[in-house]
Amino acid sequence: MFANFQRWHQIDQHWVAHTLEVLLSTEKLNRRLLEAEVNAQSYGLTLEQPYLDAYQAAVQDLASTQGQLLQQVRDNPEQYDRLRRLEDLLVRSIITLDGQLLSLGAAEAYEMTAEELFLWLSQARDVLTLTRAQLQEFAALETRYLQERQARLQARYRWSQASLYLLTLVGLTAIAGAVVLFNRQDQELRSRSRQLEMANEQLWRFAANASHELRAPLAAVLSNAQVGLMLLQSPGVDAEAQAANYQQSQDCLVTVVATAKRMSRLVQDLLQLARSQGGTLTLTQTDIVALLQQWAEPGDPPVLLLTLPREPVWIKADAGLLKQALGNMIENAKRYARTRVEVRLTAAPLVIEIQDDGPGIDPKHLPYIFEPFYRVGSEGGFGLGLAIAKQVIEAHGGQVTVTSLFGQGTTFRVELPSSSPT
Amino acid sequence: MRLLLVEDDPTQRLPLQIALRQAGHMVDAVPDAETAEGLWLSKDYDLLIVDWMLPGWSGIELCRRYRQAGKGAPILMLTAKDTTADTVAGLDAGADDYLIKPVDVLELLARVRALGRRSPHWLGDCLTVGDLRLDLMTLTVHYRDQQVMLAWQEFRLMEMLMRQPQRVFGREYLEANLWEWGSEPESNALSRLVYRLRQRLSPLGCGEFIATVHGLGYRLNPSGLTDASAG
Repeated sequence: MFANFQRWHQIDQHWVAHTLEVLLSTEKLNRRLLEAEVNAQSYGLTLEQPYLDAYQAAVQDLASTQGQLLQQVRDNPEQYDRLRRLEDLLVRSIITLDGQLLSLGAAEAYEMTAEELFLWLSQARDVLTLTRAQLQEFAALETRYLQERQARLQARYRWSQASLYLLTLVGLTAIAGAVVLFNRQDQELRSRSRQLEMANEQLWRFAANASHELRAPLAAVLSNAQVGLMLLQSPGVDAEAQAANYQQSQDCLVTVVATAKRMSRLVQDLLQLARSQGGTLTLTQTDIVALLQQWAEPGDPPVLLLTLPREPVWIKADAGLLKQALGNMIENAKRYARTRVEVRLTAAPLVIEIQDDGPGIDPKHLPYIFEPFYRVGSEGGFGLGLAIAKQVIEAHGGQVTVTSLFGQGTTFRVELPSSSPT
Repeated sequence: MRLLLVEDDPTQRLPLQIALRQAGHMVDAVPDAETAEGLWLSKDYDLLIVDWMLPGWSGIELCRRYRQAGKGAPILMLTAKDTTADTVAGLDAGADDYLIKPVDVLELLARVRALGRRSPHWLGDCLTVGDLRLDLMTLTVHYRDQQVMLAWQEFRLMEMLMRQPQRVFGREYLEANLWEWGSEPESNALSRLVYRLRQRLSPLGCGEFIATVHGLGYRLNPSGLTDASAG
């Protein structure tokens, strides 16, 4: 592209220079013609040889300049023709001047009256005037060409300059864009890296917690089973000791059974967590109002208060998983509530709020309560319920947030994408 | 040995306590490090068995505090943490041994015996006074060709008396050292224990070796032993 610009520019420059040369030659022609006329007249007036010499030099130069000019305008037929016609006029002018000069005798001039002299002098005027007019016309045309070509050169120059600016602008924009993109990518990389770090940290905590949560009941099962066996096999120093051993071994075995059941629930919860994380959902049109009404039965305190719309609220959901998730959150709220748990559903946007009037969650625990195995208190479950709830709700394209006022209660807010019934 | 077991999970604490008790040890079993500290400040232990993950101070913190208190008894850590870094951290904090849960009870008992052998008080797996021999592994008293097995508390009393055969043990001392933390002895519990031990030993003909020192307490009867060895 730049090579093209350069070529066009060079061509334009060449034409401008060429036209200038033509104009110069035309001017030279004009001047020589004037010199020839003036010198011829001066000779006529004075009969002094230098004027005649100068006249002859001017005529000679006139001929060569005319030849040169013809060469220069060969590419422009119109101007060429004009110049050919001009050439005729010039020849006629020179012939007229020559004739004038030849007509002068050596002493004749001195004897001419002013009137005769004027007449003599004006003999060539007509043809010369015509020639000059033609010459001027030719020059005017060339001047127009020059202006056109200069204008074109300038236009092309401006255009190429504009193009250059445009290209520079495009380049700069591209650079700026690249910088912005690099920055964004860098930021994205950093944020990804941060997310990965956080995920990694979370995974590490999960692994450590899972290790503890799985090993602890396993340790209880193993030690109780072993000690139970040991007690049964121990001879016992007397009947009383044997009875005590028997009782203790029984206690140990009861613990084994209870712990194994607890472990079974833990394994079930862990599998649920894994399924909600990586499994596929079986989505069906589900009425969330009907789903929540399952908890509406009157029971022991804390009382569960449901505030639901009259109309069904539809959502594409895996009903089983969603019920489990909401159930986990409601059970969690009931565990901490003092007198009541309120469950509110609004249809648009689809929001479920589960609020308890319990002691609230210490702010230091809040960021972690959805992490697997994270337990705020020491009572009850494995700390998987809320983790499962969050996974399930996120798998449905929703999100769950928590706000808690220490001493005043906790509210879980579930936002889900709603869908119209099909 | 007198052991301090620190484990917050009762389903793990109880079987370990029973197993250690069956092996003839006195076990103070507590659920947290703070309670453990209260105990070690007033009692001397031969060994501590400590769970790493405790509510409040961790097992690691307990180790540091125990060592800072100038106590030298070995510490055995029990933990679900299983990386090399965890092991190093545990040992650096002052633990002497390290067992990963779930712990095989038989292995735990073997480790406890191994750590007990490193104690300055260790006198072998048997205590012998004259012809009277107490097997610390089987909780059995041997006298001449006969033998009898003791219940763990009887065994503890017998062991104490035989470790220092010249010493008269006061009732209060015995009550403080024969009953585990959390089980207060009734007023006549010590008398009944001594009675049971004598009954256990009488088939061997050495029931009277446990002598009452009126107004003071109990001791191993040297004259009885001298008579027996002489006979």
